[in-house]
Amino acid sequence: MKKFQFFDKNIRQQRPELNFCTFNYIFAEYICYLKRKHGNDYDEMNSKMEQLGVSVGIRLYEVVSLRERNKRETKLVEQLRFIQGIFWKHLFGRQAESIERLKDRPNDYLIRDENPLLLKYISEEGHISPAQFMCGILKGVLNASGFTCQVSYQFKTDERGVSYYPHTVFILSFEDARDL
Amino acid sequence: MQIRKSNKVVVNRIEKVNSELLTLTYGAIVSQIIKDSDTVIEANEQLEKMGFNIGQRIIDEYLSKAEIKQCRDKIDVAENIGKGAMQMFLGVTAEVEVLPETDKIFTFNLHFTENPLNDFVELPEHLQGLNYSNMIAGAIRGALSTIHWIATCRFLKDQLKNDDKTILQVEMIREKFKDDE
Repeated sequence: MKKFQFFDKNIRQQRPELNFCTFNYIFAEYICYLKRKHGNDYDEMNSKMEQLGVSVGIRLYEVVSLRERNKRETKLVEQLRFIQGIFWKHLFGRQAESIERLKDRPNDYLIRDENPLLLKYISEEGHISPAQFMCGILKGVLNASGFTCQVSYQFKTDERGVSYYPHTVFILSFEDARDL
Repeated sequence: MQIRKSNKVVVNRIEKVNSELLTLTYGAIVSQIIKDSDTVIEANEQLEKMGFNIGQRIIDEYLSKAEIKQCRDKIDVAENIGKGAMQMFLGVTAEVEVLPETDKIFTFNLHFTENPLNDFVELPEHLQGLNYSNMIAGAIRGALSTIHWIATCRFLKDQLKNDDKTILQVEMIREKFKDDE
C-alpha cells in the first residue's frame, strides 16, 4: 500500500522560513544551468525562466489561498488587490507598493514594487533577470484564477534615462476586455 | 552540542525567505531538468553537478558566518555538516552516524527525519530512480572538495520512496598532494 506523506501534513501550518542564501544559490545555479544549455540564446532563456515562474505561481496560489481562507475572487480588481496585498506579503514579507491603471492603455494594469526581494543581490546588467521569473509567478497566479494575461516588466527610469534599479514595474496586459 | 548552541544565534540573525517559494522553485527546476534530459540517470547527474557548483561557494558562506572553531578531527567535520550547515541552510538537523574507518576512507551517514525540499512532492512511477534531493549530495561533495577532501555521496534511503527516513551516506578521503608522502 503506497502512502503519500504529504497528505498527512496540515496545510495551514507553515514551515518556518528558510535561509535566503539557499534560495539565491539555487537560483543562481539555475541561471548558470540555462547559460550552459542555451549559450547566448537569451529569448529561450527568458521563456524558460518564465515557464519556471508559471509552474511555481500556479502551486503557490493554491497554497496561499487555502491558507488564508480566501474565497475565489471573480472580479479582476479584487484579485489584483489580493496579489498586491496578501500574496505579495506571504511571499516576500511585505506588500507591493501599488496597483495602477494607465489612462491611455485601458487593458493594462501596473504592479509597482520599489525593492523586489529577488533582485536584491543581482545587478542590473545583462539580458536576463529574475524579474522575468516574478513575471512568470504573476502570470501563473492570474491564469490559475481564470484571468488570461501576459506579464512583462520594466525598471523605472527618470526622464534623463537614469535608472532607479531595482524599482520594478510589472505590466499586466489583459487580452480579454470582458475581464476588466 | 557546542555547534548547535552557537549556531542558533547565527541562524536567527540571517535573512529569511518563505520556505514554500524555495521548495516550489526547487521542484520546478527539477522538473525542468527532467524534461531537458533523456534519462533519469542523466537528470541525477545534472542535479549533482549543480549541487557541486553550489557547494564550492556555499562553504565560504558557512565558514564566514557560522562562527565555528577549527575542526579538530573528521568527526568534527561530519558534525559540522550534519548539525551546523544543514541547520543554517535547510532549517533541519541531521543525525550523524559515524561508521568505522577502512583504508583511510572515512564514512558517515546523515539521517534526516524531514527534508524541506520534499514538501508537496510525490515521485511518479516512471521516475522511481530519481534522487530528488541530489543537489544536497552534490553540495556536500562540492563543499568538501574546496577543503581538499574527495567525497562521494549517495542516498541509501529516501522518504520519497516510502522509507521512514532519508539516509545520505558520505565517504571522504584526503586529497593527495605532490609533496605528500
